[in-house]
Amino acid sequence: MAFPLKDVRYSTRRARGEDAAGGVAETRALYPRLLRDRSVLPKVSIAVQYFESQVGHERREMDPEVLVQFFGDHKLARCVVASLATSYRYRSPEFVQVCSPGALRRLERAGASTPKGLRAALYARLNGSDGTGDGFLRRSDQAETYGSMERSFALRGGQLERLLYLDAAEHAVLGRTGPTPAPEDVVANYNFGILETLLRHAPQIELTLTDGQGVTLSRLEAGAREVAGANGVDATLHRGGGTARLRLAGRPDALGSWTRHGRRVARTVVQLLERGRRSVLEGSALVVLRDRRAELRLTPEVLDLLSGDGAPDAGWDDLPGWDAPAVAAAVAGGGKRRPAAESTGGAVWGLRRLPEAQAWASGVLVPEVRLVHGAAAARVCAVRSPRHGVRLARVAGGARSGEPVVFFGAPPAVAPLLAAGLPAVATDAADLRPVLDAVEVPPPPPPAPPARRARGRTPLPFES
Amino acid sequence: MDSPSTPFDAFDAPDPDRGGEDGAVDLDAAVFDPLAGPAGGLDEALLERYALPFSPRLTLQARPYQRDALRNWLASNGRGVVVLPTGAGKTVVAFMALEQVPVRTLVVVPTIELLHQWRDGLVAKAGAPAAAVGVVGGGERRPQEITVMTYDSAAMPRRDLSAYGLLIVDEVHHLPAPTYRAIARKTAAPWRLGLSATPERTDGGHQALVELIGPEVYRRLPAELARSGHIASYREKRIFVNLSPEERYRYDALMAEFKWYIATRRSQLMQGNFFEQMIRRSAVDPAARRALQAHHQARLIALNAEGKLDQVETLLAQHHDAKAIVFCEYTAMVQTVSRRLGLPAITYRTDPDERRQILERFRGGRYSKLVTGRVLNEGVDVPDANVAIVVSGSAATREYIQRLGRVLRPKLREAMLYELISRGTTEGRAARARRPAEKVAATRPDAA
Repeated sequence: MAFPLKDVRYSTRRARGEDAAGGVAETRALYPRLLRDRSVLPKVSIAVQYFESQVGHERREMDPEVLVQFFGDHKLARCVVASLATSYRYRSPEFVQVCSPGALRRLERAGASTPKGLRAALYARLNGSDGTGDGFLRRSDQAETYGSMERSFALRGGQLERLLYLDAAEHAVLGRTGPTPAPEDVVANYNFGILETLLRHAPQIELTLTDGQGVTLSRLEAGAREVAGANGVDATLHRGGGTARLRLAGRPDALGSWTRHGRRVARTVVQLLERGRRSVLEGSALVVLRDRRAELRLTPEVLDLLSGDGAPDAGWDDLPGWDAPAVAAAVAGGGKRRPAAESTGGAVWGLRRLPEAQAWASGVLVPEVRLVHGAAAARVCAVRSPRHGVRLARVAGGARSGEPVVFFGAPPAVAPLLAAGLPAVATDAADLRPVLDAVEVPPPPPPAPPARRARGRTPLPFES
Repeated sequence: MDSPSTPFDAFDAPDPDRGGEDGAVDLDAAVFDPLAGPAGGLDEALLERYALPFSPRLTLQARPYQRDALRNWLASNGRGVVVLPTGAGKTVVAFMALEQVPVRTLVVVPTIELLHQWRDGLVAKAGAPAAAVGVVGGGERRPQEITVMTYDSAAMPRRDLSAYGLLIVDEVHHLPAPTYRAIARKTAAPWRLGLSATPERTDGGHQALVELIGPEVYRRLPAELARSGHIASYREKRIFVNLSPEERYRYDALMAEFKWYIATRRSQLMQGNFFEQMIRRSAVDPAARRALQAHHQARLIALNAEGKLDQVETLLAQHHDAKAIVFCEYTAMVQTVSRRLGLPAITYRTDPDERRQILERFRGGRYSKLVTGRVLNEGVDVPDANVAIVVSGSAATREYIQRLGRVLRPKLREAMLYELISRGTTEGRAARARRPAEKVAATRPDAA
């Protein structure tokens, strides 16, 4: 997941580099601020507990300055919060959660069962049926007007005002997308996010590929071209000294921003590392930082953070029909919206293609599609080969937070995932439809008691 | 309602000032006699090269100042910028230019809403066949002899713009932005017309328009056109409101914190642009960040003062039978006004369906009042109103003129623009800065 560049803490220093002609040139070296030290874990743990204490509470109850003051660095705080955003989401409650069944029926009959519809009813009342009303609500008339509408919709006293603006940002309620995140996972996601952000701003990234591990340079080159091509990224390769240098090119959009195409470039790098971290010796990225350019060295440490330290390589040999172009074609042809199982009453998933990768301490996962239905979401990840299945089983098995992930692939590829008890759909061809049919759309939210009123700060678990 | 429903409707009505049994004027005879034919004096070879397979014919009657604008543009070899206030019919000048220079045309607009508005206008008012008007942008990609394109689409690096002979740039003040300059440079169009109500840019970029489009060939101020009755006559009124004692205390404390920082760091801050230096230092200096935050908080207090809400209510009650638009600088204030006074609100966060519904109902007269932020300043076909209330705004003249333009479409009643200003705050300075100099002079009681 990427952050806004303005929130990324880094420093640059002058360094000696090599120009195109092989001469010495002055460059700037880029040093991002990564969370390397385990001493940060207790602080992150407290930040997680702060979020936990806010679950079920409205957004207006969260004090955004708390974490800024706590971390003592607003950039660091914003990026940590952004990392936590994969595990926590604000969602607007629905009328069904805050209204009685009788009131809801009346509101539905009046076409006012959403905040938008209810506001339209209020404006229509204030403007009169023939447009002869004043068009606004005098404050002296507010109690009478609201009271009259509350009686007609069988609402409790004072409830109308809340319902009118239930979709406002401050009324959104914090929820968790999965289990409580571990501080190690938050730190891994933070470090990955910082590096991905910088790669998205890179006009050019170079990786040095080496053979070995049972893979020839020719296979590496073909694999790299395949992955880059599937992502729509221009790649050039040069051989020399027993290695191959892969150059990926970014490009700016009409407004001069590198990030629109940069997300594909960064995704290509992460997918290459997923396939063969041991085949990538080192690299560098030329990064555009507002008004200057600097070089980010892709050291083994950085490459490990981008691939997930310790996770086994997925390898370059995909099962027939499951190579990168085939999976890309399956995602592109998956249709915008597909009906889910009939038992869900015709509800549908919305599809978001090429969603952001997510990191945990156990590794990095690059999903193909994100399914969205109201407040519910799930990520779908293709499994290209049995080795890929082994890697994903290791990463997903250790992933203890975030949205659920569903895998699909050929039967031998998903076998390791099924053996680990992870949700996976076996399918003969790279096709999203069986996955969309298999993943059930969650039922609408059950009626819930009204949100608690704002009161004093909820004590954190360690304070009680 | 006495207000027209689209920007073009005002020009469908006969112009009684111009003779003829229905007020119509023979445009060619009256204006272009000195020129030999509709495109007389223009390079015949170029006209031939870019010629349209049909002849556009204006289906409405132009006003005198529109003819003057076109005459000046033609006299400038078909290159230049026309500056007219919102509601005065800049688009009609472009249609007239197309009639006089009937060549393949590229129209560049800033928003998708304007994209569709221009396409409809070219077919309905400029007499272009529907099949000959294409659109590129907003998910459509259908270039034709006359193509309407968004700035973003036109600026795409691989976009070929070489086939057009006439370039029309709406809201041309955006063109000097670094990423948009390429649009003018990519096309070889020999004829270029820029349209704007507010070409001046705070970064001085408007000077590049001479090279990109051509010189300013015609300008009319709102007050001039109001005097001649071509746009609504209007009055501007500033109303000062007092901060509450609590707001005053907080405002003064925050400004004191800001001023103390300035006083103690003045030697470092005076190198170059003062505010840029502050922002630069805030990245590394916590005191600078606190000072900037204090300044921002103080500004919020001034712009969103509680007393303004009472004043808005008073003004709305005073104009209870008029169509009114309330403008605020910040979304939070839009929401506050909307909730307290039950006004439909449009901000950048408003759901597109709800926004469309509110604008349609306002246009149709079902709603008579709405509150909005900066999102309706330009690039949106905002229905006309009689009263504009500026609760808060920036110091930019452009924003002021754009907001004023929302009440300027011709109408029987006098339009009113109110500015609410918190007394004894920096807002007064911003309000003075945003008014065009001529207008301030013209509206001073002693000047009147």
